[in-house]
Order: sequence, then C-alpha cells, then structure tokens
Amino acid sequence: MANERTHPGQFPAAEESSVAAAMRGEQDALQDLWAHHRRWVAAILLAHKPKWADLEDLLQDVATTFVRKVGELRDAAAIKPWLRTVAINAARASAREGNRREPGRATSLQLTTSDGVALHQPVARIGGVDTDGREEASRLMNLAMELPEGYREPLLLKCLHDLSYRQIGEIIGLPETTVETRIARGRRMLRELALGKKPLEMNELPSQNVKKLPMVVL
Amino acid sequence: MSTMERDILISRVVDGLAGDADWQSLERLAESDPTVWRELATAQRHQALLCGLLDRELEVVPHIELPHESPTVLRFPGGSWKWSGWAAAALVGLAWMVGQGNNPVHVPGNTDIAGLPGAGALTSVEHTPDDYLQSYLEHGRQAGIVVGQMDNKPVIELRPIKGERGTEYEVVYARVILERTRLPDVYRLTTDEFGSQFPVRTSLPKGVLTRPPM
Repeated sequence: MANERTHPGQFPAAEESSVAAAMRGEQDALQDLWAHHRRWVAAILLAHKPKWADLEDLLQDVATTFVRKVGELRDAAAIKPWLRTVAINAARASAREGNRREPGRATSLQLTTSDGVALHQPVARIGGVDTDGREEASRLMNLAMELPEGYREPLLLKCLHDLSYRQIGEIIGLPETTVETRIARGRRMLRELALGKKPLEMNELPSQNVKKLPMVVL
Repeated sequence: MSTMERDILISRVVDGLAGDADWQSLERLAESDPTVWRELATAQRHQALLCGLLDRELEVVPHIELPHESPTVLRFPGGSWKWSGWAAAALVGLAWMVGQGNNPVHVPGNTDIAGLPGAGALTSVEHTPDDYLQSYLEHGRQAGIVVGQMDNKPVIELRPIKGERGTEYEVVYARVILERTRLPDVYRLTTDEFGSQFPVRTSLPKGVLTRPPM
C-alpha cells in the first residue's frame, strides 16, 4: 500500500508527470495518485452522500471509476476537479438508487437516535452523559449537511488539517479568497443553525425544483 | 465592522491563521461587543467536534485500495478522437478482419423485417450482425433516415488481452452513422448550479448550420 502523504496538492510539477503516468496505465502511478487524493475525495463524498449511504462503498466506486477512466482526462492538471466530479456523481447516484428502492430508508448498519440523529458509531455514554461529544458532533454534522453545498463542501474539506484555502480552491475550482469567505460564512451559519435560527443566506437560495419538460433534445 | 469581516476574523482564529492585525481587530471589536468571544469559543468547539467526527469517518480511507481485478486500459493521451488517423484505422481494420464472419446470428423465418424490401435473404439462413447493419442502412436510405456512414472509425479504447498467440488487443471504436430527422423546435441541455441538467430553447441562426460529427 502506498504511504499517505501529509500535504496533498503540494507537488504540482511532480503531480503532472504522476497523473500522466497514471493515464498511461502505470500501476505504481495509479496507486500513488490514489493514496495521495483519496482522503479529500472521501470528505467530498461525506459532503454529498445521503446519510444512509456507506462511505466505504462509495469510495470503492470512486476508486473503480478512477482506474477505468483516468486515461480519459484531457489535462493532467484537471485531476482534482475531475476526481471531485467523480465523487459527487457517485454520491448522487447512490441517492438516486436509494430513492428508487425505498425513500428515506436507513441501512442496517446505521444507528439513529429517537430524535433522528444519525450515529456513525456507538456513543460512549457513562450515566447518560455523552462523554466524548460524539452525539453532539453527529447532531452538528446533520446541521452542516443542511448548509448549501457551496458552504458545506469547503467547511468539511477544511477539517482535513493539511489542506490550505488555496488547495481547497484547487479542488472545488474557486479562488482562495472565495474559499476563505465561504468557510467563514459557513461557520457562522452553522452557529446560527445550532441556535435554532435560519441563516439569512439559506432564504436567498434559488429553488432547486427545475421543471422537467417532455421533449426531444438534440 | 461588517458581519463578513467579523466572520472572517473568527474563522482565521479557528484555523490558526490570525495575524497580529487580526487579533488587534478582534480585541477592538470585543471591547464594544464582548459576545464575539462566545462566538469564537462556539466556532472552535464546532470545528473540533466536526473534525473529530470526520477523522473517525475517514478511518476507513487507507483501507480503500484500487481494485486489483481492473484491467489495464490504454487510453490515448489528449483525447481518443485525436487518434482517429491511419494507425487507429489500421488497428480497427485488423480487428475487423479477425472478427469478420464470426458469431452468426440465427434468425427465425418469421421476423418483423421479413416483409421489408430486400429483407427476404435475411430470413432464410444464419446471418452476421454486419448483414443486419447493411440491411438497416439500405432501408434507412430508402426511408430517408440514413444520410450515410463515415469511413473513419475513431478508436475509443484499446485494451490488451491474453489471446491464444500471446497479447492481443480488444478495440472499442465508434461507427458513425449519420441520420436525418425533423423536429418542431430545438433545445440544448444546460446545467444548473446544482449539477442538474435541463433543456432550454435554443435560438439558431437562419440558414444551414453544420458542424463536424466528431
């Protein structure tokens, strides 16, 4: 197994040749590139996947797509946005799949509290006390998932301590200053949500309901 | 100080990126509005909780390796379509000759195409997919649907496989058949900010509009 690197995105010159080698199908390059990027790819999946979808399964899907499709990249420098798109597509596909099977279902591995808080692992409790804040963290994550995508994604990526604003910007295709602004606003919106307030920004969002027209499309 | 500036100050402290000027601004702000310290404390706690949860969720990540069973696929650098020249044509030609005449498909005597002009020969014996393609092209031309077929077959994918005589290549290529249809209106697909595709009406210039098929 290739070693985890501590500073993703800090090898632009080497990355280009590494990506090019991966595109040629060189196994070492593929493994190295995957080991280098998979952690933030997983964070993207967490930001987009439905609560009940299994992160491990989705990451495996992305790994498979990565191996099969990386050769189709037209520009080695686009590896990060491309991987992000693959991850988002995988998360959305799982949401569509889940909706087809049974809307609102929970997987057998998912633990949920009586008030609907999803628990990813059993909460450590002593005498009814959430000893290590896991329950509060899960509740907070649920609130974070209510944030608009443009705020949620950089907020979670910033939790990967080795990613700078610039590196996050490279992944999501935004300038460094915009990333900083989004993270700052996202954090404030999260504080407001935790207090039971609806952030102003969430009232300004355009509707996601796009009318589907039955017609022939070229 | 605007809400945005206040948000950024707090956020920089949380990320450990606040410089001297940021701290001075924060202290000045706190003199008039001490609630900023509570906001800062809450933001730091939220960050610690979220990141702790994320760390636990991501514990599986190092165990997700690339699939070993995936075949090595050779993709052409710079996009597949650019390799539609003689080399690709030669490869396709080779594959074509090897595959010619193989895998005949038996057609029952009573089929939907039996009554079509020129289809009689297809109903009596076994035929290859090529025979059916030719039949489709002929009928398509007669019906005014098929305009023609491009000679060039762009290679999409080249995959080395083990053959009886060593390494062989499985070639995926595009066969481009031009068809004609009539539509009352023309739309194009566009993508909204959420990544959903939806059609929008397109205004086309008057006259004939053409573009290369690939």
